[in-house]
Amino acid sequence: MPEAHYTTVAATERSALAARRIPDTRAETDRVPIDLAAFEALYESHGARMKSLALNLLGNRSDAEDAVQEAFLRAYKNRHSFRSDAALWTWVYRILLNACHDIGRGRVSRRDRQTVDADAAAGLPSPAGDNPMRLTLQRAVDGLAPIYRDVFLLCEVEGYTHREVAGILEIPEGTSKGRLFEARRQLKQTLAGRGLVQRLET
Amino acid sequence: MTLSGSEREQEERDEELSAAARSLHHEWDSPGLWASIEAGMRDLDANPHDASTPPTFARWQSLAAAAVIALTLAPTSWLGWRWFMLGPKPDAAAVEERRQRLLSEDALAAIERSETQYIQAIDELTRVVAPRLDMPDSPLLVNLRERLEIIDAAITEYRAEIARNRFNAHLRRQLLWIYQEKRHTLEQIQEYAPDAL
Repeated sequence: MPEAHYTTVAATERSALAARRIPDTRAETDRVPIDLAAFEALYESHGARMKSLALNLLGNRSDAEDAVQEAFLRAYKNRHSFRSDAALWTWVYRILLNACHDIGRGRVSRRDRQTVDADAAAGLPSPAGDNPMRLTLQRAVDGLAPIYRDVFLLCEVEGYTHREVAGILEIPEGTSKGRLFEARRQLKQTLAGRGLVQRLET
Repeated sequence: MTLSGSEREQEERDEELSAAARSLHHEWDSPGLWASIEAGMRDLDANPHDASTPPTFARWQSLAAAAVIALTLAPTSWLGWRWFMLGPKPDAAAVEERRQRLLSEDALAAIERSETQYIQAIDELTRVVAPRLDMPDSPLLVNLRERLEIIDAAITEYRAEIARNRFNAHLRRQLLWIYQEKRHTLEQIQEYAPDAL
């Protein structure tokens, strides 16, 4: 099911890129002006995963949507300072992460699990069949240091490659791999302490 | 390449973790989100200075909030500053004085131990020559005995002064000099009346 989801997202991205010509590479960025239409295409191709990433960082859909909106507006406002040697979407993701961290710092409820549960009860289409297990993993992910949590969420939850994560976080690819390794090690250690590693199944 | 049992188990756990992580991906519809973002972008286009410069009202609100916070915190800060400046905090000079005093006490203890040994040696010498001094058979011994009496009086006086000020190094040097005189006088008595001892 997750693979099918990623395939769908990837196909959507490809079609969006073809249709809207998202400046996803240096050559395209050089040619295509960054206007409102480019951001709209970016939202269509990456919006779902951006919201998911923000939800996992902030804990509720309202904050997640606020963060995505804030990221797009910050990016649009500063679009003239965007470096054309980077991909637009990685730049916007980086802004999104900063916005999430800002909102997370600014709001008292760092993570309102009850809201997430309420979201799920209200029909949030989660592929997880076992909510207690998902929540246990979510809490373990929350316990990670931000540098590990960001990489874990981008790689393992949202399915980005190390190359893409390296572009988003502006770190070497090897650093992304190292952080993911450390994140997984810490998570396994945490979950093993709760006797849940063997029971974590989708 | 075949994996060992532990490696296979590790790989399985990694796969389980990855599968569980994918369950954290959430999707939901947000029908008005893009419309809201687009409206915000158009506002930025229409008022390019809005985002960088807050509206006047908002700026006044921020200033008012800052003023309220400052007024609220000012008394607390002032009291804290007063406590910091005037409160019973350890004074550096006092700490240094106490440190020096501790060092002096250590040094003084060593001096007093040496003095005690020195005085005991002199007292022992005094006991040795005491029979000769009880019945001086020469004017020299009489003079030496009188000299010892003066020295002992000076020693008593200096010891009384030192008891009031144990750290007075000048008094201690004077006392030491007097003890040296006493020792020298006793040695003279021992030298000039050897056959009487």
